Amino acid sequence: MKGLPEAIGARLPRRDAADKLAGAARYTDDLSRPGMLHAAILGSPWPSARILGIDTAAARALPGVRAVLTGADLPDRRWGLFVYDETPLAAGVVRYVGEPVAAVAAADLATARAAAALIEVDYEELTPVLSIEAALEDGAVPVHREFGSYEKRPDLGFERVNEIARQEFSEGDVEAAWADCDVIVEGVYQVPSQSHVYLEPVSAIAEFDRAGKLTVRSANQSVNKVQATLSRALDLPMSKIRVVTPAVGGAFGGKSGVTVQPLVAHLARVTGRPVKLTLTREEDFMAMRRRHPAVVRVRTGAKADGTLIARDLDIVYDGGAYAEDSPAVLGFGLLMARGPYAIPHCRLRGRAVYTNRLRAAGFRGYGNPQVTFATEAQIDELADRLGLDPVELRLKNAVEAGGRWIGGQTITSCGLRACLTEARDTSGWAGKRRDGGIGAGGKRRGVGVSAFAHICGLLGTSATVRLLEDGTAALAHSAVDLGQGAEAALAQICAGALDIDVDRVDSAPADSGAAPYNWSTGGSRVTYMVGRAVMQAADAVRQQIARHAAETFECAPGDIEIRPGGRAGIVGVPERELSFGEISLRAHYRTGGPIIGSGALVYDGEAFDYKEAVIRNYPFERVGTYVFGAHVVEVEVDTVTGKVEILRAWAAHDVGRAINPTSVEGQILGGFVQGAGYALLEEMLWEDGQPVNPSMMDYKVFGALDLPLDIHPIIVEEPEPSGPFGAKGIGEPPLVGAAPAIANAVAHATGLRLRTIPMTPERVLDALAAAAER
Amino acid sequence: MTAAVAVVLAVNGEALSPLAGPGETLLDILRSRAELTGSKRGCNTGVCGACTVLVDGKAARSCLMLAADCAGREIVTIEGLDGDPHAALLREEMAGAGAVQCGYCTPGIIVALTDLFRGAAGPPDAGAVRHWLGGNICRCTGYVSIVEAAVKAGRRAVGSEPGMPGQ
Amino acid sequence: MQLFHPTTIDEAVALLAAHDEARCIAGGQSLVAMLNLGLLDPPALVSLRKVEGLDRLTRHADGSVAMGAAVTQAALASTDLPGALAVLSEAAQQVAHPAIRNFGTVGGALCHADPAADLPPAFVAADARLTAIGPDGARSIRAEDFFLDYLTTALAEDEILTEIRLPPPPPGSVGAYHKFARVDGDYATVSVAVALTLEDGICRAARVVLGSCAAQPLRLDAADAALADTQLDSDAVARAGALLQDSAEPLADMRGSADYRRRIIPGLVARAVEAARARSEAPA
Ligand SMILES: Cc1cc2nc3c(=O)[nH]c(=O)nc-3n(C[C@H](O)[C@H](O)[C@H](O)COP(=O)(O)OP(=O)(O)OC[C@H]3O[C@@H](n4cnc5c(N)ncnc54)[C@H](O)[C@@H]3O)c2cc1C
Ligand code: FES
Ligand code: FES
Repeated sequence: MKGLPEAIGARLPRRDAADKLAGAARYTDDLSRPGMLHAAILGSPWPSARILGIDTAAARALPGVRAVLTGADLPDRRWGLFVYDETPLAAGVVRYVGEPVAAVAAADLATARAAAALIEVDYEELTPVLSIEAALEDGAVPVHREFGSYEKRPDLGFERVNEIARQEFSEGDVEAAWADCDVIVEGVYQVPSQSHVYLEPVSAIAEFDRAGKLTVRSANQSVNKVQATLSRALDLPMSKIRVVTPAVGGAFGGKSGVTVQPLVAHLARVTGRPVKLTLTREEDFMAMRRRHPAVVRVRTGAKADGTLIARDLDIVYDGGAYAEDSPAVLGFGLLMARGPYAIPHCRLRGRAVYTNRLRAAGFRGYGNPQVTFATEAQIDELADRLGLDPVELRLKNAVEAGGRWIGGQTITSCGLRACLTEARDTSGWAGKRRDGGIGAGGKRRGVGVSAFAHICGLLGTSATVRLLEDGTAALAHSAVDLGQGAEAALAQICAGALDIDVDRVDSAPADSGAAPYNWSTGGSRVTYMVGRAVMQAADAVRQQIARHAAETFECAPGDIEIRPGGRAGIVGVPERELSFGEISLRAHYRTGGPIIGSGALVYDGEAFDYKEAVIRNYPFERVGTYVFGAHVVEVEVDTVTGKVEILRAWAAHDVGRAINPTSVEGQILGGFVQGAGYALLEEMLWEDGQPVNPSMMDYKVFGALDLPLDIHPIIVEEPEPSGPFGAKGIGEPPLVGAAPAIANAVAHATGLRLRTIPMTPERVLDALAAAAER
Repeated sequence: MTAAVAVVLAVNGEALSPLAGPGETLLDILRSRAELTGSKRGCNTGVCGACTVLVDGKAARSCLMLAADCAGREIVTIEGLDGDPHAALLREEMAGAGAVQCGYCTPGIIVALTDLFRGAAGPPDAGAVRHWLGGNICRCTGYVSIVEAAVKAGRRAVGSEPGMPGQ
Repeated sequence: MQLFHPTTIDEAVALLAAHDEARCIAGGQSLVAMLNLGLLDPPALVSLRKVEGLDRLTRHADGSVAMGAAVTQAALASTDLPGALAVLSEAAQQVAHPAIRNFGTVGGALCHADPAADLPPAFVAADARLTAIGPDGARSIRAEDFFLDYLTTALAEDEILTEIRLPPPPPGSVGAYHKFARVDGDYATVSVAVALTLEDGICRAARVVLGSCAAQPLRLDAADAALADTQLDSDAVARAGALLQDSAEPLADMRGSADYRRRIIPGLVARAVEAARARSEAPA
């Protein structure tokens, strides 16, 4: 890595680690405020019902109870991301089991819970919409009867009852192209509802000061989004709202919008006291968010030599009871549905629909895992039919830098081929491929591959860098650190840009009252987008440093160079230099004023080309720059129980530049394991609209003994010209590639194609039994 | 409701007598009365391990211990491991390996592994570490870095490498 | 809710008798989880923690074993037991996770009577005798007769399980516990406990017990008879498996449908029998 500053690419320990390892890091529920009340909620027992009346008398009468709120007590102010359909408490009707109907604030938690249990709600049950099919059938009951009256931004053109969004991305002429295909594969794929299961259940503390300013401390992914939504929900100007984020115990997309903050703020408002609400794990499962389950119909055609010609894809996402970011999840899924391949003829269409189940929302991958599970299975199905090696088929069609993405955007950097070949070569692919189906004791082994893309970019962000009096730097931004190391990576970028030691960069946790705007920590965008803002800010600081040095040395600013370790000097004259400290003192006390630089941008890459592609109802005109990866996974299938065990995995990711390789590997490993859960284990289930497994006892995630240690992250660096030091995002892609590679390995081991995940032992055994009967 | 009663607990070597309501667990008391919030509540049903503490020297789910049933027992929480040589090595190795992401599982993992190290005759191998951590859910890391860090710390803590505590 | 700490069994029994709907609390590893979820709200709890002698595990010279109800699952897991009784330690090793086994007790696991739990089938396979003490004195209950239904045992409300006795395992006996679960530490989807008595490669007696396949541990005379006096050839094992499969009435839940559980029974029985048999061949 010649020419890079020391801070870039350094395996530095994260600064938050020490406190976390000591148990000293403070998460929201660890905090207490003077006079603080504790809140509890009462959830709906029905998936769809009208609230006829709520009797709160007994709850109010309980000593220690300070307030009881129901939907009827709150102003009619709805919020949302695209469709403004959400309220803090059910307003008139309930739309999923667990939806908060009433809330209590009391002196202690036990009293609050006891009071909530005393609230009597009179319901009239309505016919619930419990599946995608039911949502879309003729004469379907609308989940939101008032849908027409909701505010929508932008209005995305809704054609049918229960449609939250309907979008299309198409290029070429699919119908005509089938004739050119030698092989066509077709299938319907089903993917489940996965729960985020961040280890810290949702929590928030709200309080008003005497001047009427609201402060909310909560686990979230964007202080600015929470601030804006609170402003709408409470009818308060944003200037009267401060949002602070203590340590966050994981989020993965599940804390990206508001969670319980508006409700807690209302409780604080009516009681005049600080109020804390922390959900139980069971409440969190039932009332927060989940990954969209989906049904994907895909048809893909190729020439005999493996050239991909055409794809027709139709996906329906179950958005649950509230729209949340369903339109964006859908759009993003479609943008990924061509895959990282140059397929000339594509018709990619989809819908997101309302049902009477928990709202679905962003979750690591954002619509992409659903689509890529289906499309990457099809690439293997094609390879099978064509007698081609799955890696070769992918390499043959892989996009490259300079090529075009669907929608017309130029691909500015692309390490896909390197990912595929590295994963192939380090895994011993050829030998393992030869030995497919072999195993002892009723077990069969197989190996599978996936190739995939994702995006980093999206919307706006900003950062400031200030030079402190001693020449160290203070970095400010609002990229909430969810545990992925955003704060550390951005500090490294700042240190790199100023060419100083990372220890000489301070950065504060996200606080809407203190740091500049950032849209969200999500979409794998922080390193790339906020990193760019940090680069701009640091660059402004460098220029001011150079000006001060030039003034001191009476030369042109262009003759000044910034030297490693925080010094500025005259080019070619080593002894003529000043430390940042000397320069900063000059700026603070003599001339110019304190040195401060700022950076701000909205994602500014190429926009879609509306002449080349049919793009309908897409909420954005530019999304981001592309990242790539490839996974190889080896599995063993137990033919007695149907259980699939992962033996080894190789996960190669093009991150442009690894700012901190240890953090990048952490994202790869963690994402892969969540993806393995998606593939094999995790599924939120409902029966007649009632959640079946809303607890950690019943909804399982993998533990340390369920997975191998042989998971090998492989970092590929194909620098992105627009990225900070060439860096791109890595948060989500590792999850995206896991399920298809595992499914392809299962197919290799058994000869069977499972089109439904999770591939539970029961589903695998069913498939084996069905095959035995044929 | 029955009134809360004072329970005499020995927490991190100090005698405490917090009030415990009926049905309140050790975790409830540690977090809300003793201001020891290092023990986390991830599930409250014994599944996740984030609340792990040592009770009479053994790893325990503090969410599954009634506070009133802990009278007279020795409790050590993550905060009580500050001077512990095994915990110190674990912390150092985990920080270096990137084994801490959101950190919500971390205190429980340190406590559980400290229990393993104290009882181990020799350095635990990866198998022993995974076995011991089977009940500590981490949603962020995928476990690999945690296990590798623990094996390294174990080598330093319980034998093989000279001059280390535990020898 | 009141919590009592008796130090003798008599005192504990008296407390149970004196308080309506009172319950024992042993390790609390199931009970407190249920309290936390609001599934239970007993007016009084009688803690067995300070009751003298309940945590003793004794191996007698004749091979018989006696363990107090408050022996922890961890203690059982780390005890080497002779012959077929190995099924008990092996089952205990597979209960939940280390921290839960450190405090969860053998008696608690039996009295909780979860059909998916590990210890009940193992104790039925080992033909354990359970001692219950109530206001009218002590009685002995065979493990087979102890489990009546989902979370229901033969204990009266004011009876306490105090001790579990295991008869001496016959010479040549071997045991094994095979658990199949979604993930490590989960309750079993299906489990199989076996105790076999082998003589020169011939199986003289067998007890095969399934967990998670009925409201209580499932053992069949006919299935055991199908293995007796055979060389445990695959036909015999398959016959036993098929008989058990026919009588199983598993629950359906997120761990698997009833049909799925039934389907995997023969294969798992074969694995458990093979594991036990392999033990007889392994050098001691
Ligand atoms: C996360 C988790 C995972 C688990 N996984 C498994 C698993 O994989 N396999 C498995 O088998 N178990 C599992 N368990 C249950 C665990 O083994 C419990 O320890 C056990 O079921 C109860 O034992 P205990 O001593 O904790 O009993 P307690 O919880 O104290 O009591 C359980 C019940 O038994 C009664 N009781 C206890 N002792 C007596 C007595 N001596 N006389 C009369 N009544 C008595 C109590 O009144 C109560 O009703 C799990 C538990 C948890 C929390
Ligand atoms: S909080 Fe105790 S185990 Fe999860
Ligand atoms: S680091 Fe987040 S749960 Fe382990």
